[in-house]
Amino acid sequence: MNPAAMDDRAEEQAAVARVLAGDTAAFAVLVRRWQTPLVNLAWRFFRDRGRAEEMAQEAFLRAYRNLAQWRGDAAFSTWLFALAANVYRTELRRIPAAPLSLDQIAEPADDRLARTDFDDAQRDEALRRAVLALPPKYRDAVLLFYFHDQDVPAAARTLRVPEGTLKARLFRGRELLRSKFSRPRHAAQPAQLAAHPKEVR
Amino acid sequence: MTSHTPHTPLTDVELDAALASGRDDILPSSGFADSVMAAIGSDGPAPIPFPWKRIGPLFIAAPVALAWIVFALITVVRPAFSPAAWHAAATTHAAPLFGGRLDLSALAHNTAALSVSVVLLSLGLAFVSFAVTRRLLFSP
Repeated sequence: MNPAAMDDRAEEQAAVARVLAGDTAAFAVLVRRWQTPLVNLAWRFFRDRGRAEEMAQEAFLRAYRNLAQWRGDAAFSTWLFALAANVYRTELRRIPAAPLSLDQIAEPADDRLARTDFDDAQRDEALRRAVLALPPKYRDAVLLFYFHDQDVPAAARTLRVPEGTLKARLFRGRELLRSKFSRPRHAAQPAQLAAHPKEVR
Repeated sequence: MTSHTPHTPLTDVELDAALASGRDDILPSSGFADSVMAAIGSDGPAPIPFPWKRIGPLFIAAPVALAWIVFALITVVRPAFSPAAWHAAATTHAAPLFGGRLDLSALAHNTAALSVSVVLLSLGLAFVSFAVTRRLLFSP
């Protein structure tokens, strides 16, 4: 662990100790540090800014109420992300973000559309929304894998599943997305085709 | 799909590029942190952790004390039900209880020892309770 990370961890531990001693304002240190990742994680789950902030706030409140459960042996962020992901997943079970099935996701009707109107940015946005239409266990694996910058151990810790399980779910989720979002064969780039589609980092 | 051109699935590179972190991240609105702190302020102080380390020894001591009490009771009551006690009860004028199988005199003899034990145990528990409370209240 580098010195900056150790400083951050010490500062977090101190803030948690102060909160548990009754200094509610000390929680602001943790909110300021983790608000952007938590809101972005919620954004990935809900694709709705208002709902993302509402659920991120709920995650912070849950963290505040359960702060005593963080033992300090794991990074605070690991504990916080796992708690937040749990809050978001529970909320998605209650009210789904995208009441669409994979079959309802738009895709180019013909090749001209594929090359013009349905451009990369639109396709990427459609892909991100399509992730929400995956079955929950594949959806969660894909969302957290990319949220954690494609770090399998970090995503597995957040989901509290073994790394092997996460890799299997990730593979299946990506297969489902790939099968839905195909492109004309003549548009394929040699370098892209050379990639190993089954490789999971 | 209506296209007649053969299609290939997206590659991992394309998938990674589309879903990568940072591609469409958002920033929390300016008042987000304040609204979180306001919600927390109205929620009251954070629940303090249960002091398992301090209370733990009591959880160990309680079953031991209970086992001791049960053992003491058995020690006191058992002689009253012994064959010798049945015989003594049958040959004396003691009121025959439980069909002459209970010797009240033997029970009374052992009750004195039990009373002393219970008093000592109660004093011990009271002292432990006082010490733990004092420690919880005044330790840093």
